[in-house]
Amino acid sequence: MKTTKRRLHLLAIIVFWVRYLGWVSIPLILSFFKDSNYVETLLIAAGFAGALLLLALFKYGWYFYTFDDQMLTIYSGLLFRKTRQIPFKRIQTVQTNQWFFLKPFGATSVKLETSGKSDNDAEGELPVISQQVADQLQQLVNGNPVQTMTVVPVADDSYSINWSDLNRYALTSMGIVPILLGLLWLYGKLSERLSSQLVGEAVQVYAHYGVLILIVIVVVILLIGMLAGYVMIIQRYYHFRLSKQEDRLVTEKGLFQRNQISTTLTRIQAVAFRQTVIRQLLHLVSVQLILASEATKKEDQNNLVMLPVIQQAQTKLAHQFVDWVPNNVSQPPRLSGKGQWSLIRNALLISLIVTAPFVIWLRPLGYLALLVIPIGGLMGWYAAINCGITQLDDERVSVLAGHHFQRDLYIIPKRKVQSLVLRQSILMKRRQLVHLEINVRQGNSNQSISVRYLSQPVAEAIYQWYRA
Amino acid sequence: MLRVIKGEALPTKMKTVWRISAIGSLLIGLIIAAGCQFAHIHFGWWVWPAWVCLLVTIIDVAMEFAIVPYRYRFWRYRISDDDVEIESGFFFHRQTAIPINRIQNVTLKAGPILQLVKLQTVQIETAATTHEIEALLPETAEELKQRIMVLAMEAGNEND
Repeated sequence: MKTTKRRLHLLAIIVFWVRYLGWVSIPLILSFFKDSNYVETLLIAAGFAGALLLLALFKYGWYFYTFDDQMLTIYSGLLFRKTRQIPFKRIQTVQTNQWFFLKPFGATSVKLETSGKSDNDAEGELPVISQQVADQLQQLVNGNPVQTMTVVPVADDSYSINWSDLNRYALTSMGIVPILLGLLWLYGKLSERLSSQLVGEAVQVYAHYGVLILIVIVVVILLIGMLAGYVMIIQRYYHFRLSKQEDRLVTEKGLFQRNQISTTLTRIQAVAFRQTVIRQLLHLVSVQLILASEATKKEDQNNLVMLPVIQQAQTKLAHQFVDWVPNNVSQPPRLSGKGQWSLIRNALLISLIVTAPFVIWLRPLGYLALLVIPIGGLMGWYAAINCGITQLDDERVSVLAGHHFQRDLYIIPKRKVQSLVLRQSILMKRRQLVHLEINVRQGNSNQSISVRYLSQPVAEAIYQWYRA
Repeated sequence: MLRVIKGEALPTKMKTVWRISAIGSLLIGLIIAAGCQFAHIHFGWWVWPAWVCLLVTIIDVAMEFAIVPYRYRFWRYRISDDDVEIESGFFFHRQTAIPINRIQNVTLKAGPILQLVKLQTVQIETAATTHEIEALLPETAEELKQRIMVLAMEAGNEND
């Protein structure tokens, strides 16, 4: 193959520009709020945008890449020159993102990751290249010789989500809460910017209708938050498709931004069956992969969603794609009575500590905080009956970890456990209870999967199994 | 009831190291307290920050000195052909197992105090976590490093 230096797609200029604009957008928008002289502000903004466009042009002008059938080389930077060489054999994860506006131009953006741990970003990024070249790169990473024609890879097995499942997944995801907090934050910021006169008027209205209006506002915010969360998830997992191609798993999803992640099976550190309490009631489960890859940063708690939502009875579907996941996933035995009680006690203690200041200093409204105690107790009880660990065979262990009305059942191969820790305070020693902590790599860091208040003989058996 | 402790203790010189480090804390605390007192005299600060500093320093240093024998007694490590085990703490007991073929790299380091008594801290890094053996004799540290290197060569890179 020729090794002439190639340039990125012309659209990369726009992408770079938008990225630069993103950095300065917040101060610029804020300055519009503050200044009364809009013409001047507009001129300054235009000046900034122009300068940044120039910067984007420079970046584009000095961004090249070449590849042969062994490796990819990326040259970038004018003042700080950077040359990166990535052998295809070392590439573990390929991620492509195609925004809807790139599609008509047959362009896409590509990120390539090796197993290196030094950087938080992908080792190689090609912000915008033509789809054809992206396909060629994917072929090279897969270890196939490059065809000039793009070939559709043959899938050994595949799964596509249907509309009703997608709908169920979005409805049962508790990802609504963070968005709500975001909206509240936004509301706070906006109300700061409102003039004091307006706030004064608003206070008078509050005084008239009092609590009623407050409740309406809260409900409306809640509804908007839930709707936003719902739409977010639908568009992110739109037309989700999972396929297995030899030793790689490929997921595709997204409406506005089509995202494709292709990873080697060896990169999977653990498989998690995740259920929120709502999903549990509906007998649904979401299957996720813990990967040693940064490609999954935006996913559900940094795990790659493998099967967004399936019926509890269908878990053998996971086995089709990852063969070391058992056909029938059963729950590990529960903690001992002493262990369960310890978890409930801790939850109650924490809610007491949270409640006390309200009840002492904020009476009579502070009495409302007393509601936290039964909720905390319930949460503790939920965690207590949803914790446990069991050894499946010589090679695998399954861990059930429940917390905050959500439970995760992990299947972890022994060879992926990086270290194992037993912890025991002097108070636990008397009652023969131990915390067990399994450390697995996630992304470029550590995920600690722990079972608390496990009975000592069980914990020691797992410890010995791990060491053997 | 105490657990029967297996494995090797840290070098006995470690007790000295902890005591020196406690004296170091004392000096730093005293300097901060003196600074507060200086600010009280010259810039009109309140008196109490200096006293609080002094009190906290004294309690902290007393504790550090008092727990030295316990810390030493319950700190154990064991390096076998297959794994490294680290055990520490009496009130909060903690036991860690790290199989040697999961170890990605080993770092030996020594601050000024450790250099003085010719010891080294061994930092063991896996793909996910970092663990520390607080101090080893340089020979032991070197030997451990060598052994891990050899095993790592054999095991190949399967942890990515």
